Amino acid sequence: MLTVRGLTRSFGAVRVVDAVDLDVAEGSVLGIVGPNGAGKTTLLNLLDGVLRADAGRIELGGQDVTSASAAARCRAGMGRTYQTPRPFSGMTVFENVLVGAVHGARRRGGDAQRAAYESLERTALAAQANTLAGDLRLLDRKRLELARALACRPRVLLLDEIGGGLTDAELPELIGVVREVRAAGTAVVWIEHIVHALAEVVDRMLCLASGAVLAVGTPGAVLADPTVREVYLGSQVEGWER
Amino acid sequence: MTDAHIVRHTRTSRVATGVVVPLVVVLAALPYYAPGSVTRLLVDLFALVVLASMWNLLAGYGGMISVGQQGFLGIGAYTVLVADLVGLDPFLAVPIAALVAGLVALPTSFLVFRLYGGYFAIGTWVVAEVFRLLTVEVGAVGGGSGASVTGLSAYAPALRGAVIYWCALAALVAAVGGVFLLMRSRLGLALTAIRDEPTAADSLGVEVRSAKRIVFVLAAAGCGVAGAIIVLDSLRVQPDSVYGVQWSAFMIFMVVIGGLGTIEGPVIGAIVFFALQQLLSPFGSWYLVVLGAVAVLAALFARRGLFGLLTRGGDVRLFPTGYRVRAPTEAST
Repeated sequence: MLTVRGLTRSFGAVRVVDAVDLDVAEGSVLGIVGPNGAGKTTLLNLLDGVLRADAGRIELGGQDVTSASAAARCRAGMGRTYQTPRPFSGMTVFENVLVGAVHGARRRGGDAQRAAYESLERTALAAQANTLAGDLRLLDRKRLELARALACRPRVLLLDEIGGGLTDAELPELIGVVREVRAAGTAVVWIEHIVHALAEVVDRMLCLASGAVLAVGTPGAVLADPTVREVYLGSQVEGWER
Repeated sequence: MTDAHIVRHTRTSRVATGVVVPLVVVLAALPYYAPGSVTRLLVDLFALVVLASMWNLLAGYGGMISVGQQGFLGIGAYTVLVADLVGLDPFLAVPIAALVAGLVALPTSFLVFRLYGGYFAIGTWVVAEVFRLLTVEVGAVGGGSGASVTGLSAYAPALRGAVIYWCALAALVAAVGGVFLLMRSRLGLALTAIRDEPTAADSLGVEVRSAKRIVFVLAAAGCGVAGAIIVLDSLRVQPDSVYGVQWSAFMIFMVVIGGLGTIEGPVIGAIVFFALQQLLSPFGSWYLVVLGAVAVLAALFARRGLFGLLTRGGDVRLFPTGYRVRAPTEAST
């Protein structure tokens, strides 16, 4: 569903993303881990179209979207959530999600409204539908990020630390939603620092370091890789299996 | 799946519809029973409401703080003059003014959209000055001293006054009603999202640039119509007057006083501004002192404008553009 070859982006002299290749099949989850500053969010911004790549090629369902804008990529089936939630603060939760249903999924009228409401139900936000998004607490902001992305009817869903800042009690709910999304056939790319949460869901894992792919494979294999342990897991190595 | 349904009208808005429609009918019939002095005053007021609504569309909904809308007002004004010079009926020039201002705004947008924030504001002002300087160079339209519109003398004074009044009323209904319908549409949803978070809007499939461009062109067309009406009313075009930056100051004043980002606010702001203008006109420059004082007071005590003050920040909308979900569970809570 998502095929990326040689994706590269520099800021000044620094290669933040360096010749990254990745493939995500329909109905599978690719987890991305890596130390802070490894280029994970930049990679996601390149995939989503918020940033343009200096070199490389991005295909979404066989269609070349390398030069398409973020808005055009969204309409082609690329949904994304932001690490720091970016709600439309002056709009209600429902209206926030409706933006995705109307502009991302190109639905109209009652069809769009039903789809938006359904996204709220899937993310347990329906009771907050009329709340101003700016008044939401962190967990609900994370849910809203997810609900908006889902309302775009994504074929590829990019998640940027959707679990970041949440408690262990709050995590399983979001993981459950990701599982449902995958079961519906969507390809998911999920960046997360909470490695044990990621390892529970992902089919394949990719470790990024200094902008380049350090290791890719099953979660077990990647986390057992000595170089991955050295650059990323370090002292946390005992913790990931929790 | 769900029994929730989405409502867009509220009880207040239904009452408002019941008031607004008869009000427009009464206003439309006004030339038949009110003296010409009253309708002439209302022409000025209606033009101000149009200008305020357009500036609100730009800034309150499109997030574009323009200080150059007088450029399009001037273009609208000169469209009437040119139409008159080539022998067209000056009234026919009102819709043409919208078209011309909109057409000029389209290439202008490619220039000024390269700028953001304060630079955008100054950039639009510069563009308006360029329009003024170009106009002054054209001798056929009177150069720096302007010219008079003569074609209207074919009409009897009473009829002329009434038709100008109807033009102004039609422009007001089109501006306020148009902004209302626009904000209820897909584009309105996109604009509100862009205003709050442009990057996220982009990621959710909103074409940020083209949405802003449409708003910029529409607001220019509206200001062009207002300029045309102002000239029909005064029968004279002077470049320093129609291209004056004071128009932008008035627009900002009206919208900020009334309530930015609401349909109702600019209307209220225009009425307040017009009342102050009329009441204080015998006191010369004190008028500007009072305007300044009112603006300061509003900034201190009514930061969401008079409309925000009237509704006490509550969710009251005479012209609702949002969506409210009525879920079945809501009845029990």
